[in-house]
Amino acid sequence: MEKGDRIPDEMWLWRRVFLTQIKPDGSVSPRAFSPRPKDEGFLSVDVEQNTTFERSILDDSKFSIFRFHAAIPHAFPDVNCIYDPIEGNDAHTLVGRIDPNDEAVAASIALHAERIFIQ
Amino acid sequence: MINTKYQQKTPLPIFAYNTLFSQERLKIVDRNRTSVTTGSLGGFELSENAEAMLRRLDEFSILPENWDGYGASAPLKDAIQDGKRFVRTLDRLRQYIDFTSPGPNGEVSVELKFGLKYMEFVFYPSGKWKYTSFENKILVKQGNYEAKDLPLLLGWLRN
Repeated sequence: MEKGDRIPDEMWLWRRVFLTQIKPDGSVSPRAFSPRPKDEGFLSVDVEQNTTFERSILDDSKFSIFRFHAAIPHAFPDVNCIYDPIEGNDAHTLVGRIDPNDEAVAASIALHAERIFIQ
Repeated sequence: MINTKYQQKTPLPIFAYNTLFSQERLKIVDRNRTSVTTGSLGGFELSENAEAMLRRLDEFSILPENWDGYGASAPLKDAIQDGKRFVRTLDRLRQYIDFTSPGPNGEVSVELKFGLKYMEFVFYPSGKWKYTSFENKILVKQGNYEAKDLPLLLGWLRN
């Protein structure tokens, strides 16, 4: 995969989630998938095939990992998952551009996301 | 901005919101926002669910900058206060609250669930309030939230 490539629908994308955003039933709040204005509508994630649980989670006392298929954000017009490797993280991928007035992308990702556990 | 005119001990404007919520007494605090009066008009006690959600919202105020590891802003007081006011309103309307969460832009959210239906209300520090509704994980509607829309939105969720 090359920088700038569109991630195929069937690939899993990982997002680190602060434990406070995880519900008692194990699902996750949409706020975990909402970009900040200074991100210009792009959400940072890791493509599953290029990362490991240990690399993505940073600190398991504060965070967990949730994953979702690229197809979920791709269902929204003008939202793409673009491979964007950066120094120190060749799994880095951007999901966007998410309109700041559109709360539905984050909520849709959250409703479809699943938590990852290591054995 | 709360209109302090109605925080004085003067008679409150009481009206029937609609059939579903006709027993509720509402206080106008801003042009498009309402808040349910408590205490002096009937000794209303919060449910355990609402108390737990209010405690969570209070706890968000101690989150530091970058609490999510992606550079999130700390939740801001105005957003937390709006979220707490909304929780009290929902509790007065006997609406169970599924979850509350901090967001990366200083906002807080309040989430509701009923069967396959789901709603998220988001309170930004700028005063902008938004909502999304889903059924069976499919988007039904989203938009700016105004308190006058609450009976209709809760009616959809419960039916």
